[in-house]
Amino acid sequence: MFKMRKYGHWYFLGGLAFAALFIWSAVFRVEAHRGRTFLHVFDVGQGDAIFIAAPNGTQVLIDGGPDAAVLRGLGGAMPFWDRSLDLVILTHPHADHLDGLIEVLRRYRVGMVLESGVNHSIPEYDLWHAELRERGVPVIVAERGEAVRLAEDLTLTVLAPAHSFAGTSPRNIHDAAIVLMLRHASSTALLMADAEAPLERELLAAGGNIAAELVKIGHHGSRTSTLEGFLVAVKPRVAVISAGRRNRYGHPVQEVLDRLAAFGIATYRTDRDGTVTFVSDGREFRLAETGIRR
Amino acid sequence: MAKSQIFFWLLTAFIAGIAVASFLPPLLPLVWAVFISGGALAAFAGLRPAERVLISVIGFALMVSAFGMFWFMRSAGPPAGLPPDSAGKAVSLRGLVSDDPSRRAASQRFMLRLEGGTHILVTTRPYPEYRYGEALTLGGRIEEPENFSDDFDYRAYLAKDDIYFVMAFPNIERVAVGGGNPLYRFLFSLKREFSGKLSRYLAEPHAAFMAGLLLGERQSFSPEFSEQLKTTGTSHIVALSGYNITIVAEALMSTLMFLFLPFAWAFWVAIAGIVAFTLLTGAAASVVRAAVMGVLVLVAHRAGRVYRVRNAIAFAAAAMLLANPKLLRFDVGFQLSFFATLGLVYGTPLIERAYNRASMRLALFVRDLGLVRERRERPRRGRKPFLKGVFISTMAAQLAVLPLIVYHFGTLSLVAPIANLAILPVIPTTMFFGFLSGGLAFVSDALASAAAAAAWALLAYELGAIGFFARLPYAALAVPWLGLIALLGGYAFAGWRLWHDYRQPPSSA
Repeated sequence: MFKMRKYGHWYFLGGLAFAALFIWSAVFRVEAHRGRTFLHVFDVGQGDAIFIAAPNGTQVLIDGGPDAAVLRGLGGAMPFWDRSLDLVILTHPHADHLDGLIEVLRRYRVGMVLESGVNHSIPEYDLWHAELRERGVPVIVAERGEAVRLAEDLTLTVLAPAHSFAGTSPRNIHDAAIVLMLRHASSTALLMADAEAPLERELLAAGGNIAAELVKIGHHGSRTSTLEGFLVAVKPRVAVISAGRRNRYGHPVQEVLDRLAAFGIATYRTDRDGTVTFVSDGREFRLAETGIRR
Repeated sequence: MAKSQIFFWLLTAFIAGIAVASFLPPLLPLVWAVFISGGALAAFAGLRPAERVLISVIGFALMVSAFGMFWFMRSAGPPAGLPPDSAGKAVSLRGLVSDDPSRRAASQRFMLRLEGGTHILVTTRPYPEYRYGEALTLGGRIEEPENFSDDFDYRAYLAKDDIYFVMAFPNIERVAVGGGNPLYRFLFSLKREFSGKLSRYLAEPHAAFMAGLLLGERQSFSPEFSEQLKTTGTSHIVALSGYNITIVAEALMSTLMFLFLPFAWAFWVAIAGIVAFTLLTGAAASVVRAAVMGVLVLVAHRAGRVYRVRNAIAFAAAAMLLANPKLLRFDVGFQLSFFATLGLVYGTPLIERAYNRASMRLALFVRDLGLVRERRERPRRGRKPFLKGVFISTMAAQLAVLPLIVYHFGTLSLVAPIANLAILPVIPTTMFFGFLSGGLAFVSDALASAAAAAAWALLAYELGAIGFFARLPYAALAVPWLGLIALLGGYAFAGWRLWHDYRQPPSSA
């Protein structure tokens, strides 16, 4: 081993080269994110997982998909040294939105959790709460009117549920799903989670401004979501659907796709396009890239 | 004939008997015929005093191979425990989780040992997570395993571990925790703890690849990545087989010697590495078998003479088959381990000779073309060039298992040699940093992060290289028709070649 001394300078040089690489990649990353908000709709199969990266480095994960695929999405979207998420949102406790989050909790430091708090008896929901308690992660129950300021000019607002569902057992868990509006200066994205027609009608009836240029279609593009009246009110330019390749439910259904086409809405689908990434500079959300295979 | 040679041939006869019986229907008369003819030969050996030893050895070898055939047939008998007609019936069972449940994308899978000792393979939802040693009651339908595709005999694959029944998504109730062997419970919890720590410092897909390297866990690979590994012929680095262990141990030795550790030190560090690796993965039977083969290869290289380990390899194989004779035909991992070991032990000197010859020819050719001026012979360094060593041992192992891989998987990776050469030299260093990071995570967050950063850089390179080689056109050819021809032809040729080269054992040995 004494020859280590003789060749030590090579190891030292290698270490320096690595450090330089690390620092420059960090610099480039910060530059690439300056003034821009990234919205990734991960290809996690049949389920939802949406990741928001704010210009100031704040990161939000909305749902975790049905399995560990979300981890590959995060690995691709976050720098390798970053092991923390500022906010994790569970829109509703169904397995195709929840299961991936359990691994996320175990692997990332999570700053805060937003959930609807409805009752649902599946083992992973209990495990999720146990892991949250064990880690001491603060949990906030979602209610209309709550807003999280992610960065300057960037807010995430809760549009639904209209009132707290904590401790209740609604007939359809989807009616208690968390619907979110992401607003970056004048660009807007509406994230519908698994909302179905009743929740869409409720949003329309509430009379708030739900117009958005980008919409994450509710419930994987199922027949029970995305009413015509809803599309009239939202007036989106771009739609994105999170669904699994050859999923057994037939999502998204042709009806919904036809409706979106009739409104002239450009539609992206994770089952076809893989992970879909949008970027906003504060004026509009536009497609950044597609097809990052998980 | 020396005693050691007799011993070797008897062991080989035992293995051959198991091999023959594996491919034949159970024919007890044949076993008797072989046994009696062997006995007769041995008995009448005295009549020919000149060849007495040879004839009696042949006679005993026949008897031993008859025993091997019998041993296989006995093990292949009907399952014990559950009545044979229990398949298809709804039952309520109570048993103990008897292995570390493997976690897949949408399910988890574990073995349940019933009171009678029967094993049932249970597939269930991913949550709640079950653990080794938990007592469960299961309600559901018990089934016989089904073959899902023509080219893979799933039934036989499970039968080799004495699994004749499966249950899918039963109702499960946890009755008690903390049963089973405390040592295994400790090892499995260590493994879980370690991989949990590791994954806190590495993102995906790097974390999954590292878990594959260190723990042989490949369930969390994306389907695309598994396909890439197959295409580039690099799946072995994340599989727990002797193939993997021997190659990694060889590369570890090369790395340590490259770092100027004396040979004797490198040898013991590599042995310790294999032992640690075996324990960390929970010391499953297949891993222990693999580790034994790995150690044998290292010993062979230390001894410097392959003849010294010939008996050890034969003995190890015979002992493993004595414990479970069904491995020979139905356990791909066993076959790969065994042939990779043979390749590393017997093939390495041949490949090295061919390499030297080729490099000399190339040097002469280049000189004759007038591309370079003739150089004066430089004083040689003392140690074997690092890359050359890795290249030769990789080629030896790869060539030895090539017919098997073509036979079992139907693909022939054309980029495998170059892809392996690109990746293998950095694998031990990657494993080292991964191990360091997982270990330091118990001590200090910052130190673990630093080690993980180094591991990340290496992993990024390896993943990039695998992706690059997998995307090359004609990286791998699908050759389903080549299977059996490749298997028989390949090994016949290799056997002939080895026989040719080793025909005259040095008398000084």
